[in-house]
Parts: sequence; C-alpha cells; structure tokens
Amino acid sequence: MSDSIVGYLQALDPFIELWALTTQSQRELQRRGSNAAQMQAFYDAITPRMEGIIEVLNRLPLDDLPDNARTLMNLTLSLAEIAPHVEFYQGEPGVPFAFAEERFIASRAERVEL
Amino acid sequence: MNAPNPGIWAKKFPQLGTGPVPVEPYLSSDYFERERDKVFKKSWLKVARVEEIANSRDYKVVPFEFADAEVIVIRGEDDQIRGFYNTCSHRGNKVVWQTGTGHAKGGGLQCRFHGWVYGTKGEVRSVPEEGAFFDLDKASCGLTPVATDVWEGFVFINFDPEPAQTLAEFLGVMGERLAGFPYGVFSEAHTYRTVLNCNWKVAQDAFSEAYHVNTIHAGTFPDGFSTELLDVQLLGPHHSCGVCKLEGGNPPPVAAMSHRFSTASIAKKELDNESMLPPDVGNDPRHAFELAVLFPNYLVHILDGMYFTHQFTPIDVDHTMWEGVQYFAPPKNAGERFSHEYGQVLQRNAWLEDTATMEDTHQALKSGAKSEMYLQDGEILIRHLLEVVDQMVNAE
Repeated sequence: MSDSIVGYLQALDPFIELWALTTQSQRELQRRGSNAAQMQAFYDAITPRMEGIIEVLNRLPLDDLPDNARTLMNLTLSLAEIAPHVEFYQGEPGVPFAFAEERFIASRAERVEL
Repeated sequence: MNAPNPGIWAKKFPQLGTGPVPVEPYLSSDYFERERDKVFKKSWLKVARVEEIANSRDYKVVPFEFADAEVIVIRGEDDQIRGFYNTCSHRGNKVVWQTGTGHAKGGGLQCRFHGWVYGTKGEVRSVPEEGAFFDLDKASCGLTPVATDVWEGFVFINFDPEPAQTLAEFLGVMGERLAGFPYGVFSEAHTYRTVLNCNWKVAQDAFSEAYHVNTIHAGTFPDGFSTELLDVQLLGPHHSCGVCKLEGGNPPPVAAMSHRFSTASIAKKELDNESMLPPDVGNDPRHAFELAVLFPNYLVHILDGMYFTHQFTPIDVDHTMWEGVQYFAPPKNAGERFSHEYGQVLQRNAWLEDTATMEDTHQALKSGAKSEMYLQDGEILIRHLLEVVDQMVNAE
C-alpha cells in the first residue's frame, strides 16, 4: 500500500492542496508566494519518495494518466520547480540576482501541461 | 582562475586584434539605422520551426518592428512554405490580426476589413463586390512575397526582395557544420520572451561568452561550467564554439535524480547514449554544448538530448525582443517528464540570471562614462560580431 499511488498520495496529503498544480505558471506563482520553511517541508516529504513515485508512474501511459496518478505527477513537477530554491538558493523563494520573473512571458507545448 | 591558454584565440584570429572596442555601436541611433538597413533588412532571419506549421494551410505571423512589418509564413497545399507581408492588397489592412500560429480555412486567408481572400501562394482568390471595382487585375493583386527558405527545419525570411545569397549560401560552412542534428525529434518547444530595454548587441553579447559563468551563474550552475571556450570557429559572418563543463562536483539529491531519469539537461555530466552531435561538433570530452551563432541574431545550442535557441530582434536602438526556446523530445514516461521539467526550470532560472545584467549594462553605457570596452580572449565572439556588423554598416 505504501508504495502504491494511493499510498503516496496519503503520505503527501498535506501538500496536495498547495502543490498539486497543473501548469508551470501556477507552480511558479506558488513557489514565489512561499517561504523557505514551506518549500523545505514539501521537499523533505517528497524527495525520499521520488524514486518509488517515478517507478509506479512509469508503469502508466503518460498521455493518459488516471486522475490520482496525475495528481502525483503534478506534485513531482512542483518539486522540480522548488528544488533549485532549496538546493541552490538557500530557501529564497525568488531566483536571486535575477531579472523580474513576471516579465518572462511563457508559452509551451500544450501536452506538457498534464 | 586564469584561462589555461592565454591568447589562444587572438593568435588563431589575429585579424580581429586585441584592443578595446567602441561603445558607439551600442548607443548611436545613426549606427542603428544603418544596421537596420544594411544588416537586418539584408540578412536571412529565423521566423519559425517547420513543426509550428506542420500541416497544409498552417501559418505563423511574426512581427518585425524594426522593419514596420509583419510577415506571414504559410504552408501551401503543395507543402511549400512561402512568406508574405501581412498587408492586404486592397487598402493595406493587416490580413491576419493576431501574431503567432494559426490555421487558414479551406478558402484561404480572409482579410477581416472587406473580406478579400488569399490562397496559400499569396494569390487573390475572391474579392467581394468585385464588379464594383474598375478593371481590377486580380492576377497582380496578390500578397507581396517575402523571400523565404528552410534549413534543417528552421524557416528563415529575408526582407531583401532579391537576396544576394540563398539561405544555404548564406549559412555556408556553418550550415553544413550544424546539419544532421536531429532537430525535428525535439518537437516540444518551451518558449520565454520579453522586451529588453537594451541594444540587441548588449543582450546577444551576454550569451556569447562563458567568462560570466562563475559570477552570474554561481547560484544556478555551481561547479557547472568552465569559462574556457573549445574550438572557436569563425565561419564567414557566423561563429561557433563549445562551452566546457567542469569535471567533478557533487549534485544535490533532486538535481542528481533528474539526471538519472533522462539525459536531456545541460547540467548533466555523464552521458549514457551515443552522441547525436554532427561529426565536427563536440569532440572534446569536456564539451557541454555548442554555442553557435547564425548571423546576425540567432543562437543555436546543441547537445545530446535537447537543443535550445535564443533570438535577439531589435525593436529600436534601445529595445530588443528576446525569445529563448528549449526543445525537448516528447517524454516517454513520468521520469522523463519530471526530468524535462527540472532541466527547463533550471535553464529558465539561468536565463533570469543572464537577462538581469542587460538593462543595467545598457543604461550605464548611456551615461557616456565610457567610450570603449575591454574584451578578453574568451570574448572573441563579441569581437567578431562587432567587426562583421561594422564592415556591413560601413560598406557602400
């Protein structure tokens, strides 16, 4: 159970509302509105489980993930968004010494937004 | 940290000299007007990838503010890609009102002002109330063509009605050098764009050297890259070099994980697949990615597993439209999806670090405090761009 999709979602339940977001723009806004402790708590909860999460998700067709698997996938994508801030930027919610992030206008492949 | 081979590129390319370079080309309105007329209105400029207009009657509208023009590139029923000014033959309205990609209905492109319809070869297909015009010769009322050509799936236009060179001739050895990379495999484009309040060369220069990696990218790429350049090539107006990775380093957990799930990252040090790079590119084991500049303003960076591009299109002397694109293969599974997201986010952050310098540089130069800039050996691509532009600007 603990290494199933349902098991991972139960373990990460406190983070689903904030971090199971469907677009990179949403994840970026959530990251910029968070503090170091919030990012660290999410990071600490999901990182040790990542190998197992990817293993179970890799068994499913990426283009047709069931809803609960999609929720789990979106959590991993939020980890991608915040990991540099935990691992490289000492918990700063913004990219340090950077151009104004809101001035970068993004457009991306549609299918990437799961 | 000193470069291991001081003066290596100055020795290889003595014609470029070693002295300071003038600031005037970055600030002068007069200089910019000559750049516009003699460089940008005479050179092949990238407008699209073929994947963006994959099907018959798919089109893309691209604005060029320096030319007061918009260009439509459209794929015809005969699979040819053609380019036209987005200007109706009737009274000059824009035929397509929105920039970006779209798909023309079976009838063709219809101007919304009075309903003139154009086919994919630019020809007028129908004119409402045609009988009310006087001796209208529809055969001479087509959209005004813009020279258009394709290299390796990149669509280019040229505002010169009769370009001095074909695209293949213009790209020359550089085109051959970069040919054969599987660009079409990396069909998922992730784009960022913004208007930068700086001269186009201030922006392009910041992406044309590795001297800045220890300072500007200390945050995002710690221990990532060396300031050293590999195998600098000056090929006509174009130029290319390898950017060099640093050996060793110990990536933190999530960075390491993203490298395990996929090979598509410029920060990855170990490659587990056969090289996709063309034969003349990246033969040094320290090669991280190729930094190739297709003159005047299109940067193509190829590496195993992905490629990315930058384009710096001038708006006026003090403003530039920047577009950065990362191209990935469609992910096959969740691990690749995660890895692509991580690599893309990290590169976005690095670009946020890069773009942070540009407006300050331009503003500080405008103070007039300095009339010259100093370039070190590893800034040879900047020296070359200035030299090529200057020759064209001053040509009769």
